[in-house]
Amino acid sequence: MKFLKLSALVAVSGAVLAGAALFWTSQNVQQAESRLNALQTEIAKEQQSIRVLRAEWDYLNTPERLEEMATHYLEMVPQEASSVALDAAYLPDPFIPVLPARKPDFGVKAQNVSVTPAVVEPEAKPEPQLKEPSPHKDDDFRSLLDNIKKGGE
Amino acid sequence: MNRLPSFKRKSFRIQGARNEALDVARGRVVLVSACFALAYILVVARVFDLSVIRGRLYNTGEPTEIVEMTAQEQAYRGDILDRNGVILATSLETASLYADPKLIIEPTETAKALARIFPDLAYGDILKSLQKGGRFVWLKRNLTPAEQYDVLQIGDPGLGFKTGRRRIYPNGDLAAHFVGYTDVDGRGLAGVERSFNTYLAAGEQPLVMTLDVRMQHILRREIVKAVENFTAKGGAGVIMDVTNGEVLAAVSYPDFDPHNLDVKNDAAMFNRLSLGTYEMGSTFKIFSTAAVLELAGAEMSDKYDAREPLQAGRFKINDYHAEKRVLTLPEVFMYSSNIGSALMGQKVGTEALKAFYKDLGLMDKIKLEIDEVGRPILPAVWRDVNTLTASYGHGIAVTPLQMVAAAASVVGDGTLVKPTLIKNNDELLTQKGHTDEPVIRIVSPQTAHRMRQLMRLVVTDGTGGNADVKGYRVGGKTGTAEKNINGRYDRKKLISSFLGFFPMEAPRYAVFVMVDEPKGNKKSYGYATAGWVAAPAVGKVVESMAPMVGIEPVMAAPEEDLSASLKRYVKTEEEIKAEKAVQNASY
Repeated sequence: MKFLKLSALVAVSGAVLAGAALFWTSQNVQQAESRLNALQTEIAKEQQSIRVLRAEWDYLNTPERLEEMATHYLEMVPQEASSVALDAAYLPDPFIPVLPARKPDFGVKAQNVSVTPAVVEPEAKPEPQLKEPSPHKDDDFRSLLDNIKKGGE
Repeated sequence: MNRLPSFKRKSFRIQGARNEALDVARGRVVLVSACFALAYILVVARVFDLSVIRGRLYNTGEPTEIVEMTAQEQAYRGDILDRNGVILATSLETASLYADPKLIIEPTETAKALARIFPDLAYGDILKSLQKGGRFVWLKRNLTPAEQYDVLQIGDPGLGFKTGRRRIYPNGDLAAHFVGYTDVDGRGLAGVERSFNTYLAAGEQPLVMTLDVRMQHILRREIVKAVENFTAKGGAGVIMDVTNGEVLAAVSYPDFDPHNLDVKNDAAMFNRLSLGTYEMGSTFKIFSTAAVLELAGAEMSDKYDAREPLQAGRFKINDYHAEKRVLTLPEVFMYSSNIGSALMGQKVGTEALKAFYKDLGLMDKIKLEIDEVGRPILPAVWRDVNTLTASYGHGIAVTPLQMVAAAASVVGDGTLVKPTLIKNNDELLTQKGHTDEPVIRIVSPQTAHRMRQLMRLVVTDGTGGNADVKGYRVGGKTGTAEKNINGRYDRKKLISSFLGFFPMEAPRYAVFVMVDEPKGNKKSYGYATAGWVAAPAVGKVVESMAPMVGIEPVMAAPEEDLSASLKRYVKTEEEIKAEKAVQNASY
């Protein structure tokens, strides 16, 4: 048993360990490489399909086709110069908000739920009424616009 | 611990000369092992340095090198894009279908299935090639991915694919003459595909053109309509940005499908816009009028006698829309009087007019980024009569594109406009000879303003009324030229064109439409002149493109119009009648 000295033991086990580590590393590298290859093929494939899709997108969006589709399926017409409002004064009357005459009725279920009002309601608010637009409304709007214009200058 | 004493015991035995030799040997062993140890330490240190220290330092980025290496070996030919990034040309990997008849299991079934996928292939033909001897037969080239998928679904082991690169033009024939096409190996044969072949082959960056597919479509649509309505031979047109010469749309019709070339069809393959040269006719009056204003100091009130045809050598110059009276300068322009324009040319003088045309680039081949550029045809010897005819666009043939650029120079801010098709970086432009050249002034801003007024007058009161679009202040000039067939001018064969600009007070876009040999129809009361053929087409183009480019419409009263100040030089119908009456009375 003389040859099996401690140093030799250490050396042999070291060699075995190193060999195992080398094998493990090389296996890892091989696996990583094959994975890399697979990924690269996949990337190339994806890039390829991106190219195809981009070309297809522009093919489907050719102005000629879009025009044809638009005339077939949309009720839209090309814009003309006359359809552009050039002066805000020519715009139709400002929108008059339609307010409900009464408080909205929430139905039976809503009535059953007792709600304690956080604030006590003020007495007898005058109910909002639908008014006829005053004849001066338009002029008011114009003068407002004029004021804005003056202010802007 | 029992080894050391024995070792000592042994050493005790050896003495004298032998002991000395042993010492030397031991010393050598120590030296050698020290060397080895040092070498190992170095290796370990280096490994540590590479794996740990440097690994940490450099491992932050992505491992880009490897990916690039693989990508580079199969670089695609560069894409060609329009100004908004829409693909005009790209390269795709396409599969072509072949069969190995020996491996085909069920020829009839397979042939049936294939005939279903490819309606353009006949069942009988497929079956015949599948039952042929040999081991290879092409069935169909360049399949779409969907078709390839369908073929794979058949699952016959005798069917196979070969992949290859193919140039695809998603917009088809839309700008075919200017984008160009390639051969089977991907070498550019026409258009920018040809002139930028090396750049595209490198495949690093896409080539961006100045074209806009939307405007290209609008222009093509209107030209096709005009050509069909007037049963013409063909047409051409261009939309140009006056401020920088960028060509937004360029059409030569009939055109071709770059996927499916018919090279022998000359009419379709020929680029009428930049390669064809034509005697443009009255649109040239823009240049003679600008010359007389700029060089001869003409005034708006100047009069030109257009009562009698002008005799010049053996030529007789006639008016098409004959007014048969003395015309003012604006009247000459708006009624497109050949006699008046010839007189203007006479006033400018031969040398001065030639120099002016040369400055405008009408006498030389222009620089453009494609190879299909025509050289103007000039008189072999320029006599005084050529000055007269050149004043109204005869006896000198130029490319339409060249004329549009020259007119843009006169009507824009008065500096030379150089047409360009490429919107890429400066490096590319210098490569093609478009360096930052100094601004060249052609006419004074005053003359340019006068020309704008005159061209607006043509549309409000003159021959170009059909080009008017409410709100967009179109101005322009009609041009009806008779074609020179074997040295004789044919009254039936016309080139009708209209060159429009808008918005006229500060022109931004030039729109040009030319129709080759139109024939009058019912709607135009049998006329095939520019005012009836090309002017409405330009009007339609402006109407469609103006909202797209965001030009604000202006509804101005006639007295606020650009041309209003010229109206006092234009006689009304009543005045003309009264004048005629006075003349008749005096006889």
